[in-house]
Amino acid sequence: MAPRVEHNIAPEDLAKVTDLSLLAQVLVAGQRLGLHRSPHAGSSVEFSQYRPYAQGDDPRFVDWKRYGRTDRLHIKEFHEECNMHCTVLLDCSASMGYGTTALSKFRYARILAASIAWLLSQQHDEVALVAYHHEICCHLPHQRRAHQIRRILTALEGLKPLGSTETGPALRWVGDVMPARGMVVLISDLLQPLPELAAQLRALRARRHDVLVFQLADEAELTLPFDDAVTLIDAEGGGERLVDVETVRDAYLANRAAHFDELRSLCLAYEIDYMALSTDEPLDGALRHFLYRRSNALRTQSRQRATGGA
Amino acid sequence: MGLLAPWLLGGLAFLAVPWIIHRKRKPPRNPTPFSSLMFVPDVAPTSKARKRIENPWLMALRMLLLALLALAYARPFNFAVASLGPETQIATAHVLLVDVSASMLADGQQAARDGALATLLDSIGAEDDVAVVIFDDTQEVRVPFVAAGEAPRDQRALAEKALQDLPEAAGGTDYRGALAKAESLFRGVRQSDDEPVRQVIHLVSDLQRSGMPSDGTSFTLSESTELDIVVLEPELAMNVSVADVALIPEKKEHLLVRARVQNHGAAAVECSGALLIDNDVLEEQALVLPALGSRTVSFRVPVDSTQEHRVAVQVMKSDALTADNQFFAVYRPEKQREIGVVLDGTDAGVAGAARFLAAAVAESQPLPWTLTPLHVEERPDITAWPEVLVVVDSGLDEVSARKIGAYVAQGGRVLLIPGTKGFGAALTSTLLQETGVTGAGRRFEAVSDSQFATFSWLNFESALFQNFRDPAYSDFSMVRFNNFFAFSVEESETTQVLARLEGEQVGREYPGLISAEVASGQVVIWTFPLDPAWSNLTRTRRFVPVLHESIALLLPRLFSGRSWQTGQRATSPVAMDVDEVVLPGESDGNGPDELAPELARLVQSGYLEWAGTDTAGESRVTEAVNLPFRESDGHRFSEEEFRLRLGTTAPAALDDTEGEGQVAQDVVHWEHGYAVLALLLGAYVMEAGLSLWLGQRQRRES
Repeated sequence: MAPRVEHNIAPEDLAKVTDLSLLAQVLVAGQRLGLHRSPHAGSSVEFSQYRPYAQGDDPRFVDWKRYGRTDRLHIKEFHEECNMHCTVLLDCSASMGYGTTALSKFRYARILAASIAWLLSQQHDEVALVAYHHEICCHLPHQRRAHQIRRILTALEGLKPLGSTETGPALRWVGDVMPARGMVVLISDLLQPLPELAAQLRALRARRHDVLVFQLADEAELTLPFDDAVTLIDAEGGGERLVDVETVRDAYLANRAAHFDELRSLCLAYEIDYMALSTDEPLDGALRHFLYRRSNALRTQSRQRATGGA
Repeated sequence: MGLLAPWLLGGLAFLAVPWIIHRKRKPPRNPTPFSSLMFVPDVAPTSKARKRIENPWLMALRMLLLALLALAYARPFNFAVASLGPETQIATAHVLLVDVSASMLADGQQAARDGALATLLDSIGAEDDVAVVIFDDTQEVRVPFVAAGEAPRDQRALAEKALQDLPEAAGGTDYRGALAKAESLFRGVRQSDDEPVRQVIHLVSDLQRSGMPSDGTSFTLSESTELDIVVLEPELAMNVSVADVALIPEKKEHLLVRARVQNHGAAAVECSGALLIDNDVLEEQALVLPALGSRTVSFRVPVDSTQEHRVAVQVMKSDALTADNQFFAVYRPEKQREIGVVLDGTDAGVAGAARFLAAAVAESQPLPWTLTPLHVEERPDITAWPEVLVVVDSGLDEVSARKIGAYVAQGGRVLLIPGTKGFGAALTSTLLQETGVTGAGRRFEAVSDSQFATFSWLNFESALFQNFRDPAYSDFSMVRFNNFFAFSVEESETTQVLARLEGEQVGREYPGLISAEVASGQVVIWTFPLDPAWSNLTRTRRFVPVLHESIALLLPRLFSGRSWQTGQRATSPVAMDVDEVVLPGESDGNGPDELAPELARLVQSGYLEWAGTDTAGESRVTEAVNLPFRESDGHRFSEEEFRLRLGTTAPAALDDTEGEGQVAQDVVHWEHGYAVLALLLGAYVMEAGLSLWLGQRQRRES
């Protein structure tokens, strides 16, 4: 059993641990306490409603106790807790390697991805990992095997940030290869033009996927804290630019706010959960948010299944 | 607080370097990786940002480093007066050595001197003793120390009074004599029981360069005497002076007076020069003198050149020091005297010597003598020989040698110059033996340019070299002797070496010029021939003056142009029983003051009159006296240079060997080298630390 830990582990403390597996266990253990609903022993279904018996119904689902009380046959219906397919889509572009605090965006993202994967594996969900930069650089498809989480963690350990960010093609590819309605968790800094990204997010939603976007940012990206004049070098090979920071700071912040405000609006419009994270924030909030979304997704799927899906 | 080398503060100009570097240095193009430039607007940096001074604190520290470095080189120190306060427990004997030479006449000098003396007096503690010595080229003790056994006096009040009654500035400057006099006073000072009395000489002077002997000789104070120098830095007066005067008769009706006038100032000046004959101004001329240069001014006046005249040349300029702006001379018509030249020898050098002699005593020159060949065998009567003979000998026959010996024994005067084979055996055995001069071997086996000797010592006290005292003429370093004759001389009252030669073997000296009295006659011996292969003397500017002075030395009546030193006894230039002496300036219009001849000492330029009886009866002789004040000379020593010339340096600079406490207690000057060094090191550490921190921060940022 994972050790009990306090919530809100500071990124500085996370940075001291290099073992992703351990990090994921610790973080997930912290989130599960009090959040995970205890399953009934030997039961994998949740009562939903009674309905009158109809011809063809499986007699196994007749509630005989109710029949004894009411003298009418009723069928007991359950919400099926089916296994969820979740794809963690991790941005491995060079910009993710940027970081001025204890954790770079990429390491923060890896820990987040590992934690989510670990959490899902504990819930016996099928989890897949897709890492990308300008192309798909790692793909571990959905499996319910016990060692899937090990594979994912090992893969995460081996990833390096490089290349440019091309999230749109990666989303399209995920949409193509994901077999059923599931959940897509996108972890990226989303430093790219919006039109294609918006199109692909909408496409995913059109395929009934639940989409959860974690947009990461470093503290320096949020404030541009440099003094005087610096030559900024684009991490993704976009050249360099000599800037007088004091002069351009306001314009930079305005541009950035406009970009992500627009993205947030799009996500709201597409019913996509969007969460902006700074690498100096604890990861717990993100995981909590994920669990909340997962439970909602399960309910939705169950309802859809119950209503025949539509 | 003062600086030993203030000019090195010019290094402060380098303070601009860090400022320029920090100012010109572009803002660092720190290659700062960033996640994306997509939100960064492409705006060029403003020039304001580019011109901002980078790391101002680091720049300030670096400027401080440079300033401290310049300060360290300038060598700050404390004046002695700061250490002579009442807290000084050691009883100290102070000698105030006050310059009252003519250079004090310069504008503001006397006021500055009085101010400095007042400050010094204030700084002297009640337990201290004080003496006052004033000096120009003589010294006078105005207030002596209280000697052991004497009743205590209010020395300070006495000193104050003495300093208020300083004489009018006049005379030259003699630091050597002044310091010797001041130091001699300490011998009579009271000594305390437990500790030796601290001895301090406070020299208050303008450190005039001409006050130091030009021959490099110096005076070193004893180790127990501290020297505190209060430098009176004059505003250099545009001084002019008359350096020399030549009198040339022209056709019995005219006298041509040529005077060399010097401008000691750093700018050209306009002034007027006047010629006074027998105290009447006969001619005036406007003069334009170049900066730091001289000009010869000529006066041609119609006077009877067959009579004696008092001649003076004056340069009139408002701020000219009166000590040097006039030059006195006496024009005395003299018959040209005959100098006999005896040339005898078998080598070519003798014939060459004849040519050099003839050129040096050219008939066209207005010289008081002429050279006449003398053939001994043709003029057997030695009483009919000229007053002076110049004998160039390389093998004189015995008869001639004996004749010359007899001539000298009867009062004759001879200048002996060897040929390249040395003096002949006859002359050596007759005349040279009696002079005490022996040995005549060549110094070197062969004459070679690779080995030579130079004059290592000249007797400037002798009449022969007196006129070479002036620094302009005292340099004989260009005269080289590739060979000479190594005589040995037993010096005595009658035989003196006037110049010595030193070859490649340092410390081994040989006589170069010898003066010897033989019976009533006199001989001057040159130990080198006039052959150009042996010596370049004949080709230098020193040959003619040395020859003339050698001849003049042998002509005792030839007294015009004698040079004098202040305080020198005014000895009679002619053989006469002196009845009275009128010193320059002594005449008050009511007839000359009678003065015992043995007391007649010269303190002023002008005309010196002798009255007495000689072989011709009652006689009166007038001689011009020009005391070499050289006070117009604007060259000054720095304090450090002055100490170096004295053979002493600032006390704190001396003493690495003594403990710090000892130095702090005893020194008059305290150099702040260690303090500045400590500040320098502190500033360096701070600068290094700040640089390191900035570098780390920059690395961290990048």
